[in-house]
Amino acid sequence: MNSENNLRTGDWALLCQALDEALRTMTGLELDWVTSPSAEVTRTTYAGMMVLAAERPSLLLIRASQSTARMIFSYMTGEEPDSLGDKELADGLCELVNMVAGDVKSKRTGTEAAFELTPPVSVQGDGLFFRGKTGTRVEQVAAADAELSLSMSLFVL
Amino acid sequence: MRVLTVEDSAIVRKIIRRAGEALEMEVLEAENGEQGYDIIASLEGSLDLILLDWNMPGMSGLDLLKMIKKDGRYRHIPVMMVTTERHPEQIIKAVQAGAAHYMMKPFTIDELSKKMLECVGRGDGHEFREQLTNR
Repeated sequence: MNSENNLRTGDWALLCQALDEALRTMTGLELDWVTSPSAEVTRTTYAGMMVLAAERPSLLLIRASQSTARMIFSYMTGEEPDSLGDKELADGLCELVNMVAGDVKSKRTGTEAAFELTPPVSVQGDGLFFRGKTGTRVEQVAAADAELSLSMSLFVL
Repeated sequence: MRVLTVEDSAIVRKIIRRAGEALEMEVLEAENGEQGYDIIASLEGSLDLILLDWNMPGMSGLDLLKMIKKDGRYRHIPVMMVTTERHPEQIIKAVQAGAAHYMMKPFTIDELSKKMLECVGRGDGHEFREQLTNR
């Protein structure tokens, strides 16, 4: 597990597990995921992101449409979906990315693959696209349920 | 009972409010450590529980915990850390600074409610410390 590729592959598997656990624990949702090979994150409304700062840093991004974000954070807070505003939904995506990255950071602390986290940042807007620079490796999973628009991506340097 | 949550995430504050209100607690909110300290001071420590996030812009939850525990006026208030920091070293650091309990994100409302009740019922986190000692 010393090569950079293996470390990153390991991180990605842990990040996927952490996302699954965070959603299941906080919302009760048990989702199936599909791997998305595209280096482009499709149209979105809200995204939370955070840099995993190591010798070779990477950017973790979780994105959702408005309806999916409302559903997730309604389950989390017990509030009506329509009562959750833009700021809260964007904040929620930041918190979700924080939980996912924080979980893996704890597992990596004290190992050769340790990394630090930057403060999470949210982005909100209509029809946003995220694209890695040409040649950037992107790991990506998306919720398999066609009614949900939710994905997690890792842009690796 | 009155509980203060110091947490930079609005969503997590809502979750804590939901848990606290279900337990018939009055829930006060602060978005950061400085605001949290101001509320504690303005109430002259008249709180039954403080929930602290660890990583916040400005003053961290751990820094605020240390300030609370150094101050004789507020030292008696049980403090629970609510955080994504889950490495054992971090937990020990919080306990050494005086945390009564530790809640790792992600959590269920039931887990949070249970720990909040334990904190206000016990106050000093005795059982939690024993669990750590016996690891």
